[in-house]
Amino acid sequence: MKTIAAFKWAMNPHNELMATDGTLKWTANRQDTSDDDMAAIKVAVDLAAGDEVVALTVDSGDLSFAAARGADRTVAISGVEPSAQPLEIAQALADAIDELGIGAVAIADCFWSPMVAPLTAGILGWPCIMGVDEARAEGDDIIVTRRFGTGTQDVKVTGKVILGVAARRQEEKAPSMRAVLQARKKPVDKADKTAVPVALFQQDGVRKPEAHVSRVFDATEDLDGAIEQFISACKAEGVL
Amino acid sequence: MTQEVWAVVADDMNAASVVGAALQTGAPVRGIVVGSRELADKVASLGVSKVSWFNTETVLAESYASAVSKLAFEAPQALFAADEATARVIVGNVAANLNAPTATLVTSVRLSGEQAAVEHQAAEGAAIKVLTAPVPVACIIADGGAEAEVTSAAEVEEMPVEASDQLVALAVHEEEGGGVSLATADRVVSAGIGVGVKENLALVENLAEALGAESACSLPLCDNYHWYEHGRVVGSSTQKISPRFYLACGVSGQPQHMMGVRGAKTIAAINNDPEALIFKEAKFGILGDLKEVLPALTQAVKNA
Repeated sequence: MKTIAAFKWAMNPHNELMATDGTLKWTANRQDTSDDDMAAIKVAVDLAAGDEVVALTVDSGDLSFAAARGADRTVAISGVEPSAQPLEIAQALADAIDELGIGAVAIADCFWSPMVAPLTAGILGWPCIMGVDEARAEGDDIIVTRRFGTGTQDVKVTGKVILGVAARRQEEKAPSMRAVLQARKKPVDKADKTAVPVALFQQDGVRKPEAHVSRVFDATEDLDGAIEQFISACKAEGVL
Repeated sequence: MTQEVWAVVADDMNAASVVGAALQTGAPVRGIVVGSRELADKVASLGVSKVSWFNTETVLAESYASAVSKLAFEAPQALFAADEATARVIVGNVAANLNAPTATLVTSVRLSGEQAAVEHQAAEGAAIKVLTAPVPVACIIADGGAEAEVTSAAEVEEMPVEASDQLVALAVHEEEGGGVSLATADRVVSAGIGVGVKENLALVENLAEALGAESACSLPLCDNYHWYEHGRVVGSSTQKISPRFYLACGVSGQPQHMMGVRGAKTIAAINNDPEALIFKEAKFGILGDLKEVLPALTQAVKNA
């Protein structure tokens, strides 16, 4: 079964800082890869089971990231700004997915931008399952294992689907240098998605959040006093 | 376009906060419940004007995404949902069909005529960004907002089953290792990398026992040290919990961990680093050495 693995389409919120003048700045103005990207690539590769895996990403940074993890070729989308809003990213991904004509797509279910996968599915009119751990083909269907309550649930999917894949942990085994070098020789095609109009928010201001008052009792000076105050605070909160 | 806003609810844990965020707009709130009758009745009691209920007894919740979108021809001014897998699928479908700009980590929404002003957290909570757009808008709310209170029950209308048959639930596998107890726990005590050595876990466990609390941990204690099973990890990539009391011991407060616990009613912390991020989110805490604080606090809890 041919699959698509979409990766590196969001900025890492850790790189967004509030400057002393009250403005927001990105220390790295580019899309980044997350643990969820790696998990999405793995799901796409496992589901393909030897068939073609097409990686889909924005045209910046390391384009061979998914190829080093098993993708056969990469399509790099131009025209998606790093600061693009979820609906813009989803529209660009959906258009590219539609052009590729492949119906099994793994996208990171990433807290950096948790609405991109559902919006992409909504634009395409496909079903969507989030919190996916793994997927395998069973005939023409896909058996998806996703997080469900405190356990997991198996779901049979017939037809096209967007799978939002969430990593449970960091990548356990990074690709070897040999795999990375070979990946750079795999084909990369470009797709321009500049002129895709969607509704957008305008930024109208930035402010600091209301100051959070945290009462911290110093036990380095007075252990008994700190414990006593902590117990009182617990009782006042009704948690003890 | 109608004047109402929608609170899209697919799980019990976030129902009151989603409806609470929607009610703050001042507009009539319709509950869109994709779940059990019990959940629909709960949402109906939270101050909404009515509930449109999509019964998931025999249908996978995500299968209703298109059916809910069809209902959106009535054009709500705003959609509200929690950062929860099923609700996001439903809202994603509706927002895509309405071409509604979509924001996450939303802390408040003001509606004025055909315009929405949305505030959401940026820079990992260090800033609030103000966004504006013509309605409709879709909002995934931040944890920790005001919850709707129980009031008189509104009408619950069961919607006809027009679900896609492309998704079929096969089997559910319960995870061993504590997940169930964490999800429903009233109190949770967690350990982070600041506990230092494995022997100190006993101090955390003793305090948890004295408090009648469940034990949890941050991801490194499971992944890197293998001191806890995966079902005990809380965080953005594992499980989100919402106990009445969450006490973090030696937890630094990294965003990935805090995203899993912001649903807690009261967060407290014990840490030896006065600059630890956890103190910025905790309501109160103790600065000190865990080896000294934990035994003393355990004894004090027993005496309380």
